Amino acid sequence: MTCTTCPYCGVGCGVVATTNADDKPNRVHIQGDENHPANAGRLCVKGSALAETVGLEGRLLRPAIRNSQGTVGSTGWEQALDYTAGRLQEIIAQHGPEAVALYVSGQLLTEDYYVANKLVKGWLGTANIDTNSRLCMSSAVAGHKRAFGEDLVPCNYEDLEEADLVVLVGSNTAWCHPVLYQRLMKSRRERPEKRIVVIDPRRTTTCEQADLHLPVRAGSDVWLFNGLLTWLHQHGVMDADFVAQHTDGVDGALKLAREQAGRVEAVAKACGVPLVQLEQFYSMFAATPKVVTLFSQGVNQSSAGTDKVNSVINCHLLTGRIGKPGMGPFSITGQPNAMGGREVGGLANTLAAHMELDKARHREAVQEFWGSPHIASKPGLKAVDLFEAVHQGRIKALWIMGTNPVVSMPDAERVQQALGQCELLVVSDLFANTDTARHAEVVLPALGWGEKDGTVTNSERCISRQRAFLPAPGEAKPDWWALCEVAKRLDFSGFDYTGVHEIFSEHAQLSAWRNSPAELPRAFHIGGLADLDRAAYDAMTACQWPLPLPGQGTARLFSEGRFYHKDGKARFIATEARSPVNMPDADYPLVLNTGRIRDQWHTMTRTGRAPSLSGHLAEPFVAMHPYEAMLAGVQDGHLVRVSTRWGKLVARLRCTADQPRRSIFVPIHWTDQVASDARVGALVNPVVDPISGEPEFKHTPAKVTPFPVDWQGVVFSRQPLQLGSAPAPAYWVRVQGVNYLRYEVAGRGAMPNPREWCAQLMQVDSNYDWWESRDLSADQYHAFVHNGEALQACVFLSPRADLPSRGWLARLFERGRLGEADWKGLKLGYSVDPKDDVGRLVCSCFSVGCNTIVETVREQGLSSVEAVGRALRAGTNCGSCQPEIRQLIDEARLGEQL
Amino acid sequence: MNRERLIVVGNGMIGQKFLEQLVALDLHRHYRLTVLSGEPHRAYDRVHLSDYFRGRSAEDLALADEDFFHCHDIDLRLAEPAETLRLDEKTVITARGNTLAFDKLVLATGSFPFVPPVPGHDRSGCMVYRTIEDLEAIKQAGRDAEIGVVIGGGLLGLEAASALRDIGLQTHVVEFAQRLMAVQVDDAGGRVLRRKIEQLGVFVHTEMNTKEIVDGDFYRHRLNFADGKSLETDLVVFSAGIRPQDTLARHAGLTIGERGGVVIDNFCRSSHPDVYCIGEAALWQGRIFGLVAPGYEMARVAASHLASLHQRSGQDLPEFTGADMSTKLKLLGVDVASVGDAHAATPGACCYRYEDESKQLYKKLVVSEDKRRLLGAVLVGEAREYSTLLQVMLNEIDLPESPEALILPHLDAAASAIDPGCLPEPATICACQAVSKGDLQAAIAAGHCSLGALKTETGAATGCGGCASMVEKLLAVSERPVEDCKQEILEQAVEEMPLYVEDRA
Repeated sequence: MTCTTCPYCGVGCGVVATTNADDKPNRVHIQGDENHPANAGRLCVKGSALAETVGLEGRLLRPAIRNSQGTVGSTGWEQALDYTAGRLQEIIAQHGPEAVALYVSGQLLTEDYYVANKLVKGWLGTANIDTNSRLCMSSAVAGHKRAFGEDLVPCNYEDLEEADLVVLVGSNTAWCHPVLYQRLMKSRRERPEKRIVVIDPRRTTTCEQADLHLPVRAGSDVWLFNGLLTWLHQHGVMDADFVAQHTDGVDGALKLAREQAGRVEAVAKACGVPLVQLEQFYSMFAATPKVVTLFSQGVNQSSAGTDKVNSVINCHLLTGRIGKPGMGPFSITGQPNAMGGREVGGLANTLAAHMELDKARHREAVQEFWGSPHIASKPGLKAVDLFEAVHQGRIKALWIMGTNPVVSMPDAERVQQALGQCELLVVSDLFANTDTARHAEVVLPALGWGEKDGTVTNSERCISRQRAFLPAPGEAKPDWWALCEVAKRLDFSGFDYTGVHEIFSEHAQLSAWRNSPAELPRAFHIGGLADLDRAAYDAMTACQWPLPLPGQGTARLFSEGRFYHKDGKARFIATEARSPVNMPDADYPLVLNTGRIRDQWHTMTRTGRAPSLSGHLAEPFVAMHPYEAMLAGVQDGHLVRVSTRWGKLVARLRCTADQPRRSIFVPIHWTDQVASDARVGALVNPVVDPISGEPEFKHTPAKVTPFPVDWQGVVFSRQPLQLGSAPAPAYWVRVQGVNYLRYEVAGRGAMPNPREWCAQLMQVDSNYDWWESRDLSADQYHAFVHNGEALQACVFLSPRADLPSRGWLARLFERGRLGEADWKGLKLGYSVDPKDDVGRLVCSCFSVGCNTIVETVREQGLSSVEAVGRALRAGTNCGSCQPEIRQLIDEARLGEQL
Repeated sequence: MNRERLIVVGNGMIGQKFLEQLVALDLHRHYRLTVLSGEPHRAYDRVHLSDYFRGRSAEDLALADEDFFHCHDIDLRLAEPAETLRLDEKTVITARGNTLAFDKLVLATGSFPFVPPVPGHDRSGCMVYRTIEDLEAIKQAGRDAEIGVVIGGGLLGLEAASALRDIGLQTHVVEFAQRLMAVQVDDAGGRVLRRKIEQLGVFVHTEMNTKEIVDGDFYRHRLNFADGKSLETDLVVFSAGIRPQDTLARHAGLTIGERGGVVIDNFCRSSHPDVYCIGEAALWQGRIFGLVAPGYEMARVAASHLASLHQRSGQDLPEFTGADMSTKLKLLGVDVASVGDAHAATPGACCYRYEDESKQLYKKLVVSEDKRRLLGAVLVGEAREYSTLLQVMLNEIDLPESPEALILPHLDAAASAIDPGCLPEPATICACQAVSKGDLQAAIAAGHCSLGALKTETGAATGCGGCASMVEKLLAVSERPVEDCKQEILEQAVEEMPLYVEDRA
């Protein structure tokens, strides 16, 4: 039994992993850690399915180098490290250290991050290290620094429970931070007077339980909060003492806010929200001292992201609602260790341990501590600029660790080109076949979750251990080890750690280095953890920083009104509202918004392997208002082309009035590995916030046009299809099932000769039998491959969308031995027993489909989510699907009345 | 033989119904039929007009295809309204300048939306909600609008609000009276309806008297109200009631009611013996009937009367004797039904009310002084009792001892509603298409054993749809003929197909 933490979102839930002795498919058992402060035993659907993602299939097991013919050959670590170090040396010698860069990830452990940052800033002497956290919360970092003098998150999760009003801004908490959302809902059940406001252009699942949803226009947040600031001031809702003693700059902020947002009518117009609701929100905020404003990517991923963050903080400063229980602005991160990366300084515009590149005394202190030959003195290139520099050939060597920028960066086609022409591309990853790794010259096998060992920090400054409970597969190694080995080969000292605890200890010491009020005071101080030996490090339990002395964590910052600007005061920042950089026009009339879905995470390299996570939303989709679809001449359920000035993709249209007019939403997860053409990163404008460098992922002008196809099909197969060996269909997507893969396909032109095409794709073993049926009048074809007992594959092709239920086919593949009714259904092409078709998956934890839920609701006359849970278990584990179950109950009961 | 000339003015739902009745009575062989219509589309389903915003086209909504007119030799002239009616010459002059002579004329001109004469009512972006063209205009205006206001919170006003909401506008309803749907529901019902509609994101403003419409500061228009408040918007839809379209008749000198409407007798004849008037333009005993069912009834009466001039029939000539104005609707997804004397205006009437604030349901029964007869009802939030209540009222069925059982939630199955089995055979189940229980039973006996099949066969539940649940109940209690077994035969055939058909050699 091992206590560790979940590797997905920034909530940082504690997980207890148990391994079975033998190498069975269910070799790992996962449950929530009841003793972890973040989740107290709860897990969301993604966390619950972690055991399904630790299989070794597709894993990169030894280093490989691409030879001059372009093929990748396995090699040993020695050779790979020597080669990497040698090439780096050459490039540095020829072009200087600025020609080298690292691009790392919020999924690295703090120790990996620390070593990477030290290597780049202390020994290479450049600050060209950036991270995918740039894409996630760098605007929050910049906003915090401007307001507080340091990147500090004042709140903790208990504040969400203690607050009387929680304002969720740009956060689909129910899907993206489900455990936090559940904590919030639980506290609301206990105190029904608690109010929840959601500010989001989309009507997301999070809105279902909210008291008020303000569907603001994408990018208009600064107007909204400038309006709030003015309104609070006009109504005398202000803590004058707090403002006078602990802040600076209120007049400037108020003046600008008043000019732009002095009249609520003007704010309502700018934000596109009903005046009544706007006033309702303002009054609620004004009347409720205990208010937490929780914000996430909807705020950060914007060309005005930093200003948005400060406009939120301004309102909390004006009312003195910060640093006290149940109050404060609360940035929540999307990755498990975005916070750890910030703490070590692993960003191009910070130095280390909350010390800054642009402060000479900080540079001296860090260099002295490290004893390094150099110290970076100017900011390095931030993500978007970094890849642009690779494209322009200014950066010749790039080492990417644990992230997939070909999918996740804006203007990702250009990133792909850049990587294709990079002189030396090293990729450390779990898999060799990611969209990014396939461009690499050197691939290094990294450790995955369950194998690696170190610490992470979650959104409430809580440091937890991520512990290994699985053996390292093949020759995979920790990232810090690979970094140190390269450093040693470059003759750098200070990289001879004997274990990960030594790195942590050094990191903790640096945080305490000259950290006193008289010298260089920083809130980030974990000196209390500097002396942990291996045993103490291994036994470490979750704790919140600042932690200057052993055993003394800090739940909440600023409780004494002390901030970290030189004068100890917080700053109001005058934030001028401005529109997103690229506005829609006649050619691209819609605004493309991107984000996560409930059951997938990032680029699906892990969640995509879990069958129980693939059923909820199996295909890449674009959500669009039905009226917009009518104007665009596209139909619900059909394939459509989404284009922007930067790129295009193909996805299935989902018409929903939850999507506001003049906008569309496309999820970020699908890659070239699992779909023909669905990388939304390729469509996103490479526009960034001028201060934080965070890209504007939520606002790219786009258009939607039909994607006509002549035939459609669905294939289930035990083996992956050889899509390269037959004419590839115009559209395909691969969906992971339990011991099978499902492919949705669609093609143009005449349907291929089905028998030949299938034979090429499936490469069927001759021990199996084909059964096929061709309906010439309907131009349909279907076939299945079997051994008399179980199915090996099946294929259904039709010129129309009249293909059989996927839920039913999935059940046939999950069943070991088929019965009479199953064979009969296969021959007919539809399920003989309607109960066999459970419909679209709703509850991923217990695999409960929507048909089952609707039928049970009708038959048993159920009227609550709890009753459905009792009857079917659906919604009783992680609870992420409860809002959907609630909707299904409503629909089922509505249907009854018709 | 020269056929007599019959001109029908108007091709709306009622005009089309009349044509169908003519055809059913074989009168299209007797008359040379000309239909004049001001609209460019063939008659369409105005009741489901808001489906136009849910992707249904004008063609989808059409009540008849071109073949109908061609096959029955009906000269349909679209976008050619009648402009002048000369009773002395018995001619009609159309807007295209054609003069057409007639022997008989049927006015099915319908109604037009009333636009209150507030200053600014004719600004661009102020529209009405009546025809497909109106909807198309709203759809186009919706492209770059953000806010839409409907003036009028009656039945059609809420339909219009639903349409504005469907196109994603911030939607407001402004009503002069103190509640929504003042005609159909009472105060308590209006409150529940308002709450439900507000929860759907529609803003409701009652007791608002629009004084003028002027330029807005932030949006295109500003509505200024009598109480000094104001509301800004991009577009305005007037839905403040309808007025009979009687201009043609009025100028021709036909007798017109004091507040409009062509006066008709029980055979739907106007003051001129060769001119009939049916539908919303007709005024019968001082009343206008703004619903589909009474209009259809008039169409049947007028067609029968014309037939009686040519063929001897043993049956009594049907007469129009008024109509029940009960109605059931789904407005913005909220069920609302009003039956008979909803406001308990009958002397001595006595009410039962049931309200569930958590589920937001409101139900009211109005019964006679002796508690034996149902006089009316109001249902908001859920209207599954509608068809039962309507039948009980229309057929004057004795009420149970505790009439409230009809609207109370069915806590036990025993207290279930009136069984359609107890209705007499001639009882009308579908008022719109005049389908009786007997008709339905005959259809079921002939093998039409699903709601869909019964709809196709008898037309029941194809008008307002209010009787669908009653038809289903009837289906449930009726004995069915041999099951439809096509599917089973297919499945049987497949079962016999061998699993191994391939010769893999």
